[in-house]
Amino acid sequence: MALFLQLAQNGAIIGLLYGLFAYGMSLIISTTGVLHFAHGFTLVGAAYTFWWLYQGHGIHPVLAAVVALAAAAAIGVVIELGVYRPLRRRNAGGMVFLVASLAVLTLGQNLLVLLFGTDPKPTPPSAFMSWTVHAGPLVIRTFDVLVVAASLGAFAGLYLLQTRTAVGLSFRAVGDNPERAETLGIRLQRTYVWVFVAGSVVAALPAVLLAVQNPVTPSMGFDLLVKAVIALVIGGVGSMPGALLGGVLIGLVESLAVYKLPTQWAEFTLFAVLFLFVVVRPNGLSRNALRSA
Amino acid sequence: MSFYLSNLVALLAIFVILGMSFNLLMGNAGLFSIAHGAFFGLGAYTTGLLMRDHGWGFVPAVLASCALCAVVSTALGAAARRVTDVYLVILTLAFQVGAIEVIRNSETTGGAGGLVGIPRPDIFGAVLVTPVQVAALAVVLCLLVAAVLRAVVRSPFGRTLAALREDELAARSLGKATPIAKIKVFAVSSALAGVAGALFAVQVRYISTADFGLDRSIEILSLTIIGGLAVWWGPFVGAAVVLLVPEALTYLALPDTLVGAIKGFAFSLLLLAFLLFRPQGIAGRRRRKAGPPAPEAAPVVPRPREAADAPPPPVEGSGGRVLRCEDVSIGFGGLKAVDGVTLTLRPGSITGLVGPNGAGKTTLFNLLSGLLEPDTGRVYYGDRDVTRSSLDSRARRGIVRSFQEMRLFDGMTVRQNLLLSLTPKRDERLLTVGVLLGGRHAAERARAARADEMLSYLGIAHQADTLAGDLSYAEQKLLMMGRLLATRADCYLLDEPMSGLDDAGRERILTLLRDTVAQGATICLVEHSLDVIRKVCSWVVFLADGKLVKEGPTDEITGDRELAAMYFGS
Amino acid sequence: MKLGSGGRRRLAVVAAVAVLGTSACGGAAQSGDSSVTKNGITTYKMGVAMALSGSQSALGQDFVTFVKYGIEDANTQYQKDGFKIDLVTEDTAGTADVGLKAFNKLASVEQTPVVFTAWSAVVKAMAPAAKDVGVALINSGANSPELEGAGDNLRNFFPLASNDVAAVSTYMAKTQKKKRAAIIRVDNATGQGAAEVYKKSFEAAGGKVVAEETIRQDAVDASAQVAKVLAAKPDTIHIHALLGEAPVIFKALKESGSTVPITTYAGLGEAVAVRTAAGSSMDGVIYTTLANTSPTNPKIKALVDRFTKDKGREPAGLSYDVYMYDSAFFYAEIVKALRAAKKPVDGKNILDTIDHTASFPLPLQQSTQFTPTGIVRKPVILKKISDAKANPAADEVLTTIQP
Repeated sequence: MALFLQLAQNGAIIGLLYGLFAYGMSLIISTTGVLHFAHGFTLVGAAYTFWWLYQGHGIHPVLAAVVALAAAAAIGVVIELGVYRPLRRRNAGGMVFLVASLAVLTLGQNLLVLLFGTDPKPTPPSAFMSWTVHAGPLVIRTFDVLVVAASLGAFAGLYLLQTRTAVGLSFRAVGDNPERAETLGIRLQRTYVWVFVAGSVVAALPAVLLAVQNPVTPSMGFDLLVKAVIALVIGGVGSMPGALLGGVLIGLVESLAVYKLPTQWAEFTLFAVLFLFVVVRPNGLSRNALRSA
Repeated sequence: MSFYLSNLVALLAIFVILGMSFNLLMGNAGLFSIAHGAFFGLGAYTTGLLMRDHGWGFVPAVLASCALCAVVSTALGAAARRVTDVYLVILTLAFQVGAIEVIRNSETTGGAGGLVGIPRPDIFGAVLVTPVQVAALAVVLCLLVAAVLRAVVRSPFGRTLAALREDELAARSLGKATPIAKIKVFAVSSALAGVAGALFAVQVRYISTADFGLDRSIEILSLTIIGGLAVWWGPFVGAAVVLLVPEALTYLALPDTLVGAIKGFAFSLLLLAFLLFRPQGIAGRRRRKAGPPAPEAAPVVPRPREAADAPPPPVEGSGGRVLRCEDVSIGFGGLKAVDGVTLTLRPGSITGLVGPNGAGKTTLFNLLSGLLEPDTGRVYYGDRDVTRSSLDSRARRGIVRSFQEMRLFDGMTVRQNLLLSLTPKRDERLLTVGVLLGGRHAAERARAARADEMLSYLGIAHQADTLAGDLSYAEQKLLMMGRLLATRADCYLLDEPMSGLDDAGRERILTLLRDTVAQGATICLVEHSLDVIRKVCSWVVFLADGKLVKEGPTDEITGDRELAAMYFGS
Repeated sequence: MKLGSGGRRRLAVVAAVAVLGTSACGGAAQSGDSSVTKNGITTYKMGVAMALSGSQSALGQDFVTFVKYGIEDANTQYQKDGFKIDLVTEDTAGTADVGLKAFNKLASVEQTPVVFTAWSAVVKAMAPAAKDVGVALINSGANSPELEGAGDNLRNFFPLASNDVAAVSTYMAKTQKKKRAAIIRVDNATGQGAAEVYKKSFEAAGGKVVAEETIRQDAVDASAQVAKVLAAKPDTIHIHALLGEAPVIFKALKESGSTVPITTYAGLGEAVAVRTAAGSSMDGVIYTTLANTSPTNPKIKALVDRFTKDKGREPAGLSYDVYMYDSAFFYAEIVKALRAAKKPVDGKNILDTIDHTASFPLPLQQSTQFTPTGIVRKPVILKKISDAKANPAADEVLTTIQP
């Protein structure tokens, strides 16, 4: 029972981390329709920024984290302006966006290799990060608290942004019907830029959390990226609560699968669940299946 | 050098096979998958295990790899048949990772340590000892695959694939069984990836799951795009770029520490540059930009009818089958779009379907043509209950429809658009002679002749080799009608066939309709212009709010003032 | 489908393939000796294929640097014998397919009679090709136990896990009287091989492996593995992972409050990046090392100083680097013996020399001896980390286990 509880806790925490990374992708796909794989590069870029400032130049971690947020936004905007906008202008198909996004991801990772090398960049654990408290069989770490706070905080923030602010409402209008949004006076290109700013800023949160927990490497974002995509699919593409729910769900599946199975089967279990899910419920948890034509 | 070159040639041949098989899927059929690496691995492991542990020869092992990949991909394709877009990507992603995890966690495959000690290939017992011989085997198999794929692409089946890529719904509306075609093309593509895998296993003789991961799938995708989608020899170029450029980079005097990153950087930059600036790939030709539809710009000049242009006899023993629906209803989220409509369409007559906007005319068409299934009620064609049969199976039975938008196969030529309709399902089978002879057999020649006959009847013979997307608006409308008539259906459901045309264009279409109906066909059309209705329809059905309000002879309905008031919304 | 035109272009492709094919068939057979003599000094090529790109390149790049140092020093030492060694490197990315291409290029284009390499998957992929082309393949850094006898042309200059992992597992069972061991390993060839060895020798020494859990390369969380392993109540835990995922394992073990003794190997114990990231959670960890890297050895100290001066940081895996440096001298010894016997320096003669020489003198390891199955067995030094933030050279030496 103690093991089950520990695994459930791990699953929930890692799931919230998946969710945290998936929010930005969810926001971006719901507004622009692009499955933004290059979000993985936004994450790595922000993590390197944080590491470079904090470890390389001794900047205070909070300040370094703030700069990392800005760096993430800048990366997102550059990708939108440099890659997606020209493709959109050419009326490229969804497949082209997808492949271009993957190409940006590998391009960015290789750029980081050229700049920093492939060796892992560690951050020594600080006293603040080493704090733990034991609650029965469970151990709660600073990292866990930060993940929960960041994930739920970002969720709430993005929810308010999308329901209470003009810019957030324009995201939804554009996502629903870009032509109609345009006739309502919403400037499409500007909205796209803003959605990349909002989505990318959120990606810097898991980046900083990971940078203090694990050594930073150019390939660090890929696993998280795949998990975030799964979270989106299970939760329903483009739905924020879906991304959160999907993230936690796959975190739990992945973690609890090893309660009885050897750990090496966790990955398989997760993808088998995903496969069945897509076949049985191809529109995710949070939307009714559309009538198939 | 010979050792080095022959290994390189063998790898090149393997990657060309991978690229070609993937090009069939993505380039020709427009289907997206990121599971190609997994099928590559499945083939490699099957051949490796059969040859090492069970003493199989290379030839039977290749066939077994092929067969296994085909079977697995058919199952995957069947599971994915209702899945589209992003979800198809995810499904293939799940399969890619899941399959590789199984191989990795299994004991027989050597697990994460990989499969060592794969024997050299043999041809029915004669073992190929030198790398040169293995390379020759790879090149021979590659050319064989290339030849087969060329035949497949040029066959009627290949034409159906192109239609599937261009517009799946339109293909189905012409009776193409696209779900089956998708599964078939997926199976062929995966089986050929299995061949590449088998070759890879005997070429490197040590395989591990790291060779067949997601990055391999992405590499195959990239080489196909760089070479040019749907271009037969694109994968030759793509594989050469993907394989030889990094190889060439190792000859440059770059610092060791940077070579790898420069390789990766240059490669992704190249891919991105292609996507942004040359989407058709290296080998592809830039497609002419289709101009915006210009209704007024190029009115069709009805050519004087000559004797040879007599309408071809399209209807063969329609047997006077009647399309009717009984009490059909369908609702979307509480709103009844069609509500208890009972309707019979009479053979040999043109029925007009009229009503105000939102009356449910198009939805009723969707129900009659099989695009939608009614919530309640039945649809009959003759004596047969077709309520549950799909759009494409109804089309094959003789009920075809047009859409408000034209849905031509813009990237195919005018002639190919027609040929598609002229080809019956039995000639589109993958394993017919058509495949082996590259589609140049008698039936195909007869179809080509008939297509030309149709084209001159339509008056667009001079445009036979133009891409459909490059025609003028009026010509496109004609082609759309021609494409429907070429199916030789008995029953035509036409959704605003004359909208946007000038008088000359209308006249041309009207003539086609009259010719067709004179031969015993059934036509039902949705039309806004009462003028047109009066000209061609002998019977008119009036719909409002999803209900059939009244039907009767044209004069009676068009003269009804109450209905007119309803129609014009006063 | 735009297949209509392009007949000529198609022909060009077919012709290009044919030309490549013919040139492949027409090429001369593999020549053995590729030495060049100039001004009375004969130059012999030494092929070295390491991971210079990809996630393993941090180690691979350092490996090549140490081979370079070795060659420079060996060339000074053997100048009087009338020959020198020329380094030819290729990138394997640490993967089988790139590795195989690198091997083919070294063996066939550069015509090096010998190829030194590392990483288990890479060695396995090269082994059949080495036999085909008649080149001697020397593993100077991979340790999967399956490499013993994995190819007729393969010799393992680096000790396999059957040497060091077996030693630490036997030590924990016999000397430390541990009965229940658990293993957390990376899910690849290295981890799989090491776990097999550990299990076999631990159980042979009377203990039992009660849990074995795997972790994916570069995983960001190890809590599940740690929770599962601890649930089996082990009294010792062996960790065999790679640089990316190792710190989270150590941290998760520490955070769980567990005080079970932890063992690992030099690849993690000596890795500065892992020690920095894991911090105090690595204090007390016992690790194996296969070379004496103590700074009291002046040769080691000189090398480390030279590296630190060149690169501005500490080397990534010093006990491996010892073998890399020595590999140049190992090759020089073989060349010297073959020249004395007036035999050409080709793959076959290199292998014969290895098989028929009792002992090779080496600067850092003193000497090395091959067993009949083409492996080496070395004394295993067990070290304990007293302060992870300090230089690995300062770690406490617990004991040295003779093979």
